[in-house]
Amino acid sequence: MTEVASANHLSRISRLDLVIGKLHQLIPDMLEFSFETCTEGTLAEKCKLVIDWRPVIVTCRDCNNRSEIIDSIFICPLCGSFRLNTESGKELFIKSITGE
Amino acid sequence: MDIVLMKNVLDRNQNKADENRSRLSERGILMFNIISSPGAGKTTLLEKTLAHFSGVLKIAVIEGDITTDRDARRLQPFGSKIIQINTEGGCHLDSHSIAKAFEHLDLDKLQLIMVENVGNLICPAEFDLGENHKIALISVPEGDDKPVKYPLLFRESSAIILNKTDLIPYTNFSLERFRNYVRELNGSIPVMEISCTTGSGLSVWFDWILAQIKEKGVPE
Ligand SMILES: Nc1nc2c(ncn2[C@@H]2O[C@H](COP(=O)(O)OP(=O)(O)OP(=O)(O)O)[C@@H](O)[C@H]2O)c(=O)[nH]1
Ligand SMILES: [Mg+2]
Ligand SMILES: [Zn+2]
Repeated sequence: MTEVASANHLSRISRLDLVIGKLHQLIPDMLEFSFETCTEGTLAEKCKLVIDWRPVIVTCRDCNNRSEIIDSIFICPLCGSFRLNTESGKELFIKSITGE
Repeated sequence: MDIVLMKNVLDRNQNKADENRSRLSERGILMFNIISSPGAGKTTLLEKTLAHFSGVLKIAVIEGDITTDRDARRLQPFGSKIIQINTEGGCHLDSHSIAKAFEHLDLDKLQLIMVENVGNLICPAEFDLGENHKIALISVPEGDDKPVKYPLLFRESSAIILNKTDLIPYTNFSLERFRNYVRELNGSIPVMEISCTTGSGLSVWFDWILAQIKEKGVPE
């Protein structure tokens, strides 16, 4: 993050936008706390962390039904199949950095 | 100023992992990444496996530990090459440390590399090492609900091993509940119920390894 900032001649990073799928076991409070700790004394100190949490979405290989997985039950609610493709929920990327 | 990045947080790990995977694949070597909580029995399972295949398969082990080489020393007697990686506090192995371990292995003389990851069910599931199969190992004293609590690992693994089944009579572990949880999470994954202490179920694991090697077309 600080590499991108210096490449773009930013002197301060004020906001970081992340996209995180819910399949990752990241706990919002812990993430914020560790982010605060990591950024202390860097260009990103006091930077605002904005997270776009993506739901776990699967499509069924047997009936093509699309559904959201809640409570970790990976079974198609329509036909009961286990043969599911995970379409979203594994994201883990930096969408953008805002600074000056 | 807004800088749009869309950059995968684990990109650097992923690129090296892909590189590792193709290096192994060129030589027909299979790699397993064994993931479990501390003390579930990874090293014990490796001891049994190395002893069983000694003189039959050419296996190397990469041992990931936070500190000490105790586990690596336990595996020395079996005649396989053992490489120790100390993560110095890190809670998982990454693809770069695996690439470094490769430098100490004669890759042309191997059929299977087994990696014992650092004892932890969360972070190791996130970091691809370049393996062909992640293997989730859990043990009876941890409780039958582990799969539900760590969905990513159980979704991404190719096989689940339940170890310490000899302890079932002394705990409230329900095999039926465990099997149901696994079925809900990953209905097509093989589940091997074993006890390293009594040896029960180990032959299923050994057969599974041979089947993977055969499928991959590694010369025996
Ligand atoms: N009752 C019983 N004990 C077992 C079994 N398998 C392993 N153990 C014991 O469990 C303890 C931990 O085993 P290890 O093989 O060291 O576990 P590990 O997963 O390698 O542990 P770390 O590397 O520290 O994460 C040892 O005391 C083993 O003897 C089993 O099938 N039944
Ligand atoms: Mg061990
Ligand atoms: Zn369906």
